[in-house]
Amino acid sequence: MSLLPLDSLSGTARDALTAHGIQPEGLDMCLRMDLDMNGGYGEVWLAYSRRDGNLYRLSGDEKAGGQVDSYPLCSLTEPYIDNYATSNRLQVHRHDPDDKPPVQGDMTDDEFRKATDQYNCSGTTIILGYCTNTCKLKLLAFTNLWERLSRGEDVAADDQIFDQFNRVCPKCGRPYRDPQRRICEHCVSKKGVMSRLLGYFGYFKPQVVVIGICLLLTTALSILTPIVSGQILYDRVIDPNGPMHELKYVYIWVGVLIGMAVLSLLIGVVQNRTNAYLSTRVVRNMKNDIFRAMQRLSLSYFNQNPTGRLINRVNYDAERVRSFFIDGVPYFIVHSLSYIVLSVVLFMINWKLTLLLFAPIIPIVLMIKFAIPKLMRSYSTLWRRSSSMSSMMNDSLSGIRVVKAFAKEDAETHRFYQYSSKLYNADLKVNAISLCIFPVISIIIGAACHAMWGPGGLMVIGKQMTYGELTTYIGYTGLIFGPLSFFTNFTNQVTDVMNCAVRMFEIMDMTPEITEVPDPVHLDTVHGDITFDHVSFHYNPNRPILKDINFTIHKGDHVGLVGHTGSGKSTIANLITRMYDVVSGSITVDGVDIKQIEMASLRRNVAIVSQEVYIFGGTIADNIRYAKPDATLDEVVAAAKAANAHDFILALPEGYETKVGIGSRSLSGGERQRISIARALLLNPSLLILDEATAAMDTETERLISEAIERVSEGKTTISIAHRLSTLKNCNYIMAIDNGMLAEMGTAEELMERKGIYYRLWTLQNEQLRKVMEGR
Amino acid sequence: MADKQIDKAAQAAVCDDDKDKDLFRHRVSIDLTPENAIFTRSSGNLISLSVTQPSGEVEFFERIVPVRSFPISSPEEFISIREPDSPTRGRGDEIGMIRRLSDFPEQTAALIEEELSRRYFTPSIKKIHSYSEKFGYCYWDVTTSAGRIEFIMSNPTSSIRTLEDGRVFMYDIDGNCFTIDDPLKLDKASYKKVEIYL
Repeated sequence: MSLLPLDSLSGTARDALTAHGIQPEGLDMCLRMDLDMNGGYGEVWLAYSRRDGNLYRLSGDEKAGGQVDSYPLCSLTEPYIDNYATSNRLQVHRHDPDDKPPVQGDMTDDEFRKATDQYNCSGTTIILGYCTNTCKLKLLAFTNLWERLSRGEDVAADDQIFDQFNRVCPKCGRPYRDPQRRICEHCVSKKGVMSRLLGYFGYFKPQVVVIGICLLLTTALSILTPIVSGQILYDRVIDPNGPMHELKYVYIWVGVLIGMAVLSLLIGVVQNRTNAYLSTRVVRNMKNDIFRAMQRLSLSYFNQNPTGRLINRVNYDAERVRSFFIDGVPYFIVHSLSYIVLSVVLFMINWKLTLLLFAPIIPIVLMIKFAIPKLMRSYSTLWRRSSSMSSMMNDSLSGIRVVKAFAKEDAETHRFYQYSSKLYNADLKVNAISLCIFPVISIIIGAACHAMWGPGGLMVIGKQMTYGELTTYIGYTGLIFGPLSFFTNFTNQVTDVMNCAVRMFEIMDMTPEITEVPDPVHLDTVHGDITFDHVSFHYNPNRPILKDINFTIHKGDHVGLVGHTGSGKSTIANLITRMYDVVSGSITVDGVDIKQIEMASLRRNVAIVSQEVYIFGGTIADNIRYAKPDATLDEVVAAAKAANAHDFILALPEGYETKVGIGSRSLSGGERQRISIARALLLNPSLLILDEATAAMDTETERLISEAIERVSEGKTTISIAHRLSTLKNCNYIMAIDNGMLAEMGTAEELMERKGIYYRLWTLQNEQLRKVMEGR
Repeated sequence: MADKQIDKAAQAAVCDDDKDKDLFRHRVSIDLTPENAIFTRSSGNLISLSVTQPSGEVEFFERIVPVRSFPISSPEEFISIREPDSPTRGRGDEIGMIRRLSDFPEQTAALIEEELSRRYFTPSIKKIHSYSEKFGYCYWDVTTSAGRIEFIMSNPTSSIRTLEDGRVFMYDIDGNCFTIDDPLKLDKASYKKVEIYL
């Protein structure tokens, strides 16, 4: 038996265990917990050994040899993680030596379960250790493995449970540094991300070339202009000793200067137009890619990420990348090019003055470096305050009904004042800082430029350079100092864009949790037999939702699901439609595991009307034929009639063509439910799941609908989930779910006999009704 | 030993489906005061509770779970005392509520307080050694009241929360929480590293 790949013993822990006479070779698995027994950061090791029949705990100061407690495994039951807010405690029941677990013998299953339950609860609960949420996944795996090992199961090192700790980057095959955060530090190098971003521009090679040429020309013009105006116009034309000291040359060279200005303007126009063409298309492609990637992802992703953040991803991040490539990269290239050319040109004209010219760059860069973070900080405050103000407005206006109902208009206005004055303060600060920094920087730059006239003038007088050379020189100072703040800020811009890009690519590269198998089974029509075979499910391993559910529903059955809120009814519906995958066990439709069935086949044959009804923006008819856009109007009307929606739809001014959804006519809860029932019925599914689909309707309407559904779903399988038992009147049989387990199954009469959960619910609802009748 | 039998009897009652009385049984939460609630340390180092119901009946719980209602603003008040969650019976019910922990004798208060501080393990940051940002994730290296630790945070603007009273809460990617009691009292170098997010 080798050590399972959970945590591997550290050297000191290994030594400490050996010192206490425990052979590390005999251990099955180890867990390192990152809090000590006193509540500080530290190390506690748990080591599980089937060979020794013991669980060891190594705690205390390792340098002093540590303290090892050993617990016989047979006396420990039910390892349980007490999940705290920010830390976890592993506890377990320890039994007295004379307390023996029950042996099934001639007990019935029920009795045996009761006896086991009782045994599990007896004894004392002891603490094995504490850890922060960082170790939580390993802790969960440890308890899971403990239970499996103690059942005598053999767990191999390549067991599925270890996959979560061994995730590797699909591109380079290297393991992630942090398995939770699937970012491969090798593959998301700045270079890699950058080249991937550039890939978006690759489709537009001609435009990129045009922009490149424009940039080169602009750079050349900006460098040539001071030469023409200084060395040529002054030194050769205006200077009395110049070779071209004639009036016509003044006209010619001034004309050339004007021509250069016009040319640079024209180049600018061409460049901007090409830019606009290119950037809008690149942004569109990026946004399309992100949205497509999002649609592909499984439901659990959307549960974890708020819609607002996702919308931001699509909008903000792509825009940010675009503006970087349009307003950042080209200028970076232009400025860098001109820096290189300039330094060569300037050194050739006069190297002493050039050194002098470059001297102020250092203090200016330092100043900008110092000032920018301050400005950024105030900007981020401004940004946060303005976003909290908009969310406050959103909150208040969305809840305007409640505001009005409690006459809280003044209080809301007052609340808004608070937000807006906070925003005002932040705004004031940003302006104060930016209006302070930028003028100071430009004054310093201006002063440096003017100061050049001093040493330059001395050199001209000393005949070390001509006046024309000096004006060229002065003309270049702007080109040298101007982009300084751009350059200092450029690194920030790069970081910011990289973050946006990494976030974008993270979504695009994410693999959906639920995927089709390579060769899925295609089913044209589904018969309608469903089997749950030892199905267990949980979102969080510490809180099981479904535990070992077994049942079979045959074609044509109408099954009712009852149970308390949160007992797992809706989860069963979600599992059949494969919104989530089972954790263990399997679900089969017509004898085929749903994991093997083509997703489209499954979703076409299984329709669900869930608790959360969503009406899309559009007409009512569009909403009804959402799942089958090519449905005929006959089908739409028939479905609406079956869902008892026809009458209320006709009462609307534009009938089936009434616009509904956000910003249009709002429908009542019952009306929305009826539309979503029609939507499901239109699909004519072999299996229909109604999850509290008629909860918002009165009993009369509900009865009409359930009769209509009964008619159209003749011979088809229907599963109804309901709290109100009257909804389940037409069911052949009923399943009662309790705390994630299938507690009862049978006809309504049988369940009444049993006096279990169904009986309890029935009695409660009848009691209520009786009280109402008696006027109590 | 007698306590254990009470416990077993209670479990048996829950399992018994035939008793009509149990059908609608739901625990009624009571106000816990030093007069009706006695908290003791169990042999497994957990907290046990013996509570006298208004009916005069004495109930014993081998272990209880204290939960703060207002963990941030009033950590010592409105403490809900609950039965532990059970894998077979689901979420634990509330046994009762302690209005103010200070109403209880010092020893009891300390016992519950110790459990609460573990449950809401929130080390207080004393010094920030280093801080760096890469691809939208921040890497922190800090010394806290519980020792030195490194942690990773995603999206610092939403993971750092400043309260009106100046306290700062920071959440890392695993869901651990850290606090800075008063950022202005940090040393200058540490303060500078966190200042931008406040």
